[in-house]
Amino acid sequence: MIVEDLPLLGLFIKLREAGLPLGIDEYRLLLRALQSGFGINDQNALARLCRTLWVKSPEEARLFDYYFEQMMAQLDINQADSTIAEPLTPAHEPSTATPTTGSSPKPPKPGKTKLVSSSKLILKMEDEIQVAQAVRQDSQGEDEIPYSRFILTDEYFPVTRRQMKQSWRYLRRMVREGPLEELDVPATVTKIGQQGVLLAPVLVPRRVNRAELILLIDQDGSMVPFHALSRRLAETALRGGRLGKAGIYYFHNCPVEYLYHHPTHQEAEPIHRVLDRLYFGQTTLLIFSDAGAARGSFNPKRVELTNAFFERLKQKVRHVAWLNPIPRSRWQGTSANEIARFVPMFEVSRRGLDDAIAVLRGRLVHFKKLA
Amino acid sequence: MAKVLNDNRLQYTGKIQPKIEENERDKDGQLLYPYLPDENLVEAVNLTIQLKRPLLLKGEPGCGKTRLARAVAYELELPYEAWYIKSTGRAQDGLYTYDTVGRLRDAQLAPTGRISEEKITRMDDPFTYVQWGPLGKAFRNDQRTVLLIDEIDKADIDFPNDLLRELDELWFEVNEAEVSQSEKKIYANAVPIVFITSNDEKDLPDAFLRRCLFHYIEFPNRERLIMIVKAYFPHSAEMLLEAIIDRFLELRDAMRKDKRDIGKLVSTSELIDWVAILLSRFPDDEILKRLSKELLCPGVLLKSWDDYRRYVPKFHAEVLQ
Repeated sequence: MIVEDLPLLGLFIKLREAGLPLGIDEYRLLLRALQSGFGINDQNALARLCRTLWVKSPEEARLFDYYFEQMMAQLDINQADSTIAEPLTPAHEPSTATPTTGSSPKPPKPGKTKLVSSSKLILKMEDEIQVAQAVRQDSQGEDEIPYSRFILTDEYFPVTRRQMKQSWRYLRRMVREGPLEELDVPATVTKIGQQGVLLAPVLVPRRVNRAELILLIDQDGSMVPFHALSRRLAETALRGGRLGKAGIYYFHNCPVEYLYHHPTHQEAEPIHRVLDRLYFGQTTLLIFSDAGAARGSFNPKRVELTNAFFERLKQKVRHVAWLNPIPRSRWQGTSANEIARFVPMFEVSRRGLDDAIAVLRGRLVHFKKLA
Repeated sequence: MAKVLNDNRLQYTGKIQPKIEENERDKDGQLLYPYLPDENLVEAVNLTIQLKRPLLLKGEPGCGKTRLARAVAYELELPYEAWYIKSTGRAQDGLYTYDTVGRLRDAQLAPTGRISEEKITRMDDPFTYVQWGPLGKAFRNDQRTVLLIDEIDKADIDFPNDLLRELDELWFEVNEAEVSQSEKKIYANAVPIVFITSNDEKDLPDAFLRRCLFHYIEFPNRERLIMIVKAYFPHSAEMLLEAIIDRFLELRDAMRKDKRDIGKLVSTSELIDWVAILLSRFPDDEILKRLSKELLCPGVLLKSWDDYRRYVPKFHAEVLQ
């Protein structure tokens, strides 16, 4: 089979690039469905088929619709001239479906006709890196939406939401806890051996996930540019169901005396009260802060306070890791460099996040264990 | 070959419904209800049957995610298994549980002679103490079984990943059975038709999502709502049902305007409850008369104190103006 003959391959590749979890199997699934006679009646049926096969959430559906329309518009242009483009979807403006043909001397670029829908897309899903990319490719050489384009490409998202979710997944600690409901066969058999008769089976609790995490987020001041990033980190941790009974707290610059339940530094709670609630030696702690690296200053006081904070934690917390949104190359000569000497600190990237979570699981041994 | 032909014949139309007045029940004694899917959902179901991939269903609470599986089983006359997930559920429970205690007890009783000969021979069967779970039963059935995995997001987030091999390669092992390695393996005799529902409380892992087809059940439009309600109440006056539905849609629109995407809206299942309660409590003409003036039996529709306080007076006040 020749590559060009494969139907919708371009769309499939674009969706993959946009971060949808698709593999070759999913593409072959489409071929099988098409061969069985699904989705061949009209454009809507085709879109519906692809959506059922490839799209797994409303966010992905938006990405899909965007690329599908783009592809269809391109087809329309290729067929051009005489044929009248069918309306794409009921909700679609007719002006975008029929691009300017003939009248303009240069051939219209596909991106130009799609600008309306792409800006709609931006409004709906503000901060996915995939969209930012999509728009950047799309509007090359165009100047119609300079403002939104500028804002988007200026944002700093080193880790996508999907990658965060995947990383959180590794944070687990299976322990036997709860009511006795599982039969311990070897223990029961041993007991029968000892007593000569089965009196009562030996039961143990089930294995459950007890990874408890406290997420401490530095808010305001030099962290303002990273609020979107920290919000995303908090969201994915919450939705991933990995926080256990602990939770998310906020502080400013350095945790001293109080932690806050709310990003705007409200609902303060003394640190010792937070610590008292923790299970001894079960909880892990992840800090998200620039540790002074954003402003590039060295502040001995800050280092000292941070060190004191960790001294207090030692008894209560199993593992600690630090995520720093400033790249490692800029820690040199700042407080961050000093703090990184006694806490495993990582920059925010896929690798850094994975490493931090490995530390929280007790994996990266070359870092000194705190507790 | 016969099996392939058989598969090709399986086509869900969504048109064959149990008759509500006949009180039809399935083999578990559950009352059967009509289910009227829209064309998109019918197509998604047929894709699932044809491509042999599980269908992941999402949608507002009360939009009929759970009911679909039974409706498909009814129309295609296939066996039906339901697996309701609990927060402590494990993937293993859906395959089989091994009654170790029962086996120990029998082993203890056998030498005392208090077990019949027949039972002793039965004990030699390595699968005697295996109790099949819903997925296990579906695998062992010679017909394609419609399997519902309900509210998968309630379980631990590793739960879906533990099911990958079973759903993908369609076999599992019964480790406790004392037979050779190959005999331990249980292969699916026929590929089950799997429906999975999720209320989106937790995100599902990518590896799992990748293997599923996905369909979001939209709230039905007015025509379909009328069809659905009529199927449930075939003997009631059409005009009356439409009046109730219009009133219901007004409430839903008002709620949607206030709540946007956050918060629960009144759902199809609540509408059906509401119609049932209205029809049983009031004569037809009284419903018509009072419906325009107030929200009758609001407790059926409004489930929070906030909603109650906001919409009951609102729908009352409108008429007074």
